[in-house]
Amino acid sequence: MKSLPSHSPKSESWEKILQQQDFESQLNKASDDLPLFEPKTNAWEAITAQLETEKPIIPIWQKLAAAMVLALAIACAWLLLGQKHTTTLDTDLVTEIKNVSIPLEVEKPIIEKKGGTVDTAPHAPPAKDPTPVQINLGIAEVDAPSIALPDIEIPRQDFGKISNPNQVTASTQIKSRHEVDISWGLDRSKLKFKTNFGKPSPDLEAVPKSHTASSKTIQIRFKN
Amino acid sequence: MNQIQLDSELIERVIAQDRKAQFQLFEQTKRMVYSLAFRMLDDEDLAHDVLQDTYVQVFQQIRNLKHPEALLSWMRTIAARNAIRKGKKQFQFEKLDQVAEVGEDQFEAWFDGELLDQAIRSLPAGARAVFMLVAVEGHPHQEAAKLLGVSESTSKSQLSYAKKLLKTRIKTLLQA
Repeated sequence: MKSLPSHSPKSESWEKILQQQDFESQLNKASDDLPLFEPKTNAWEAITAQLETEKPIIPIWQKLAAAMVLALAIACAWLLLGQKHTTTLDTDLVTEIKNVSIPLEVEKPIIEKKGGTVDTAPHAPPAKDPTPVQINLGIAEVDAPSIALPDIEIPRQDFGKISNPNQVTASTQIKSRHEVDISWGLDRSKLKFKTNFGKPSPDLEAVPKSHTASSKTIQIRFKN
Repeated sequence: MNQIQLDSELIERVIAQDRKAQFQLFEQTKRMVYSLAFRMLDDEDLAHDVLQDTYVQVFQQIRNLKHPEALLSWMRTIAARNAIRKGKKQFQFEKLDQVAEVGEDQFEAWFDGELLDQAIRSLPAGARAVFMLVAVEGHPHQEAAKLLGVSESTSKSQLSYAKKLLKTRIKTLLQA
């Protein structure tokens, strides 16, 4: 071996080596050189088996979006069907007003035109509206609110007992108890009036006073 | 690190649910995903469960990936999240005021990735998860705390605790 000249390193070389011996720097370097371990040989078979059995995970937002689209489609379909139902007319609930054409031709009043010609054309019936006016009268059942009312007792009065004292009925036309004798040509001094006035009568007792007071008929008996 | 270069055509075929392309992607990335899960959980069976769940999730949701060039980091995030979900029960965060002061700040030793990996797997589960997410995967504390369901301050204190523990564990491993 040839004796080659030796060269001395820089003075700070040792310090640099000591710096590399620092724990943190060694840790950073060794962390990148950590050994790798080999898994078992059947690891892939286990993974494929699990992939075959498991369905791909669908994110929740995709599920939600699909559900919303479905709900929207159902709502649209329902609305369209609902509109179709409303356009179909129920003949029971339709009042149809038709323009009835009267088969009478009203003659147009003769109007003399300036030129001397007479317009005698009959009145044409008014132009019919091709589409009859239809009014859809829907009958809807409405529950009327029930009002709770208190039970009121009406006192029953016997109106039969009330009588009008001025009313004159057949029963009230009772014969008077006064008797008047009228004579002509007789002496006035001999003229006598016989009355039962003041005499108690059993009949009068049964009759109400009001009835006797209202008796206005007087019977006059002529004695000849 | 173990750089993986993915062909854009391969990603397109994976998006199109081509099973051969899916297998090709799996072959190229399975060590990355499995190692992440295994390092976080320190459990082979759980790590395999995470591997399986991660790839199923990737293949099912890849069509929603907005930036296909970010496929690898997306896969790593899915794997980390699945590992946290699997190891939720074991990720308990010790109260650091109750833990004895560990180690000293001075560190005069050389270590490589192999040694660091052993030291990481010997960490407590909570501290290990924080260390993996922040120091190895590069997530900010805010994101790591959100993934783990802890506060940002807990994430920071757990990372500091993990580093102190790593120093002592590495020294112990070097002396062994």
